[in-house]
Amino acid sequence: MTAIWVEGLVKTYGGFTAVDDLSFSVQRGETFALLGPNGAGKTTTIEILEGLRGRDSGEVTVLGADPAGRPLELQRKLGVMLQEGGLYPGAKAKEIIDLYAAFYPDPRPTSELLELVGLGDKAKIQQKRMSGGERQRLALATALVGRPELVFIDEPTAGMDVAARHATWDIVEDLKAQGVTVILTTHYMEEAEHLADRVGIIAHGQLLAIGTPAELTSGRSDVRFKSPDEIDTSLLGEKLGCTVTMESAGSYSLDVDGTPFLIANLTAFAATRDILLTEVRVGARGLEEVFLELTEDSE
Amino acid sequence: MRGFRALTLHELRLTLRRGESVLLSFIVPLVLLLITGFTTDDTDRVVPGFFALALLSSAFTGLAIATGFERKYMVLKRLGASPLPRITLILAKAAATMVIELLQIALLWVVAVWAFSFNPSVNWLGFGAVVLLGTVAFSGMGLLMAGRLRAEVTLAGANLIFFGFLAVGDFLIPVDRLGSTVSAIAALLPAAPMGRLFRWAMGAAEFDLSSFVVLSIWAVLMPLLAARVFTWEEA
Repeated sequence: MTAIWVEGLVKTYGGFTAVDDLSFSVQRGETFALLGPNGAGKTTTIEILEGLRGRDSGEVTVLGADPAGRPLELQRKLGVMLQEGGLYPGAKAKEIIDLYAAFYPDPRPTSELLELVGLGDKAKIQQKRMSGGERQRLALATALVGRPELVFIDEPTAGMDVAARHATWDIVEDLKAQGVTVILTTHYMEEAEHLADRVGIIAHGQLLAIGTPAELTSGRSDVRFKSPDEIDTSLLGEKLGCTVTMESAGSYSLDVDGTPFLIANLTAFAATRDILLTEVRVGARGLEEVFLELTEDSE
Repeated sequence: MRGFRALTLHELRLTLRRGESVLLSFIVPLVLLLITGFTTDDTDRVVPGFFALALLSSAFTGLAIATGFERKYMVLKRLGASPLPRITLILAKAAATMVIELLQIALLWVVAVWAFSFNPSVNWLGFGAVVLLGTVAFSGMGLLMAGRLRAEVTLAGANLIFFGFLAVGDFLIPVDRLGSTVSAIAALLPAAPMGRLFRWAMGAAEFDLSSFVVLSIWAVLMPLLAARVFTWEEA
């Protein structure tokens, strides 16, 4: 079953195109992360899905409905955590949750939620007297109070210390275990890798890659090198017994393990042909490298 | 309905918790009432002016500032992502504002009766109509500012306008003492007509049709304009 379906989504502000022909879908029960640099269009996309923003063109379906008109039946099934702010500074933690509880037909008990997000001892503290991380967790609690089927979390752990971050990850994993669909945006690679079933990498409002973290990082070389000189990639591939790919001008990758023997052959190849190697890198590639490479290419 | 009740009580709690709201809505009118009351014989004329002043402080200044900062801190945006309908948000704010106004008027009334033997002959229907018209006009004006300007600008502007209306609102100083130009302008603004209508509703003045028309026009214009230009978050 499809939880979210986006086809050809476009959103412009004045002359600036924030979301540029974006298409993706998310299955029910999936945890999906939108990963991208600042200004990539993550928040605009998520706010269109939440019904907070209109769109210029494209089709959007959230739990079978168009979110644009903010249909109440749909809003009751959603939980939303904004990137920042959103809570009454002068209100106490318990008052804020109690207020949101009144908007849903079958809310979770306030004390249970405060315990869940680790604010059990902060019920009577005003929001403005809380730390950034505590405010984030309070905002997360308001997203969960209505027992949502689908939760949007924009930058869940920005400004949190390590302990709070891991506690928040546990909450998201609990949601996943309960079959709740989770859409999150993040620019922490580790977070996307840890939490998401699938990741969409976006920059300049366009989807650059989509897949499981394993898919995005596999099929890619463990060895890369750079050289300003011309290289016969098919000859080098023949010598080394692998495929050599020129990823961008002067930047090459090999789809093979970076054994000492291989590196020796590579440098010998370069030495006999007077090829300057400016950088040779060996190592497993994480999502971070894939991400950086994709987003740099799109500059 | 559960949402309306919860939000109305929430708004009331927050307003009464803010020291500056309590100062502006309760302490300032009360202190001014006491000072003026002990220096005049004409309490029947003066006291209704303080009801108008009290209404102005909560329906306009208090509402504008609170809403401006809720917009700045994206409280309104977050509510927009909940199943709370916009109309319920507006009705809850209106209800909370009216409750504060009634508390203010009750306080001033009781003090005026006790300290100055205030004993008006009230036209309750007229009184209710003036409270309603004034609330709609001034809360419309407050929301017009809050929904368009930066919160800090709303804060400064709403306080400034409050003191402006304090001067030309016919509350403390009879507006005809300010010269013909000022009183002609004041008659077209909503404050002085509201003051005059409060006095009418409490038997201290004749009914003034032009005041009623002017206040009614503001009560229609301001909410319409506010609804047109209101944005839920600062750009």
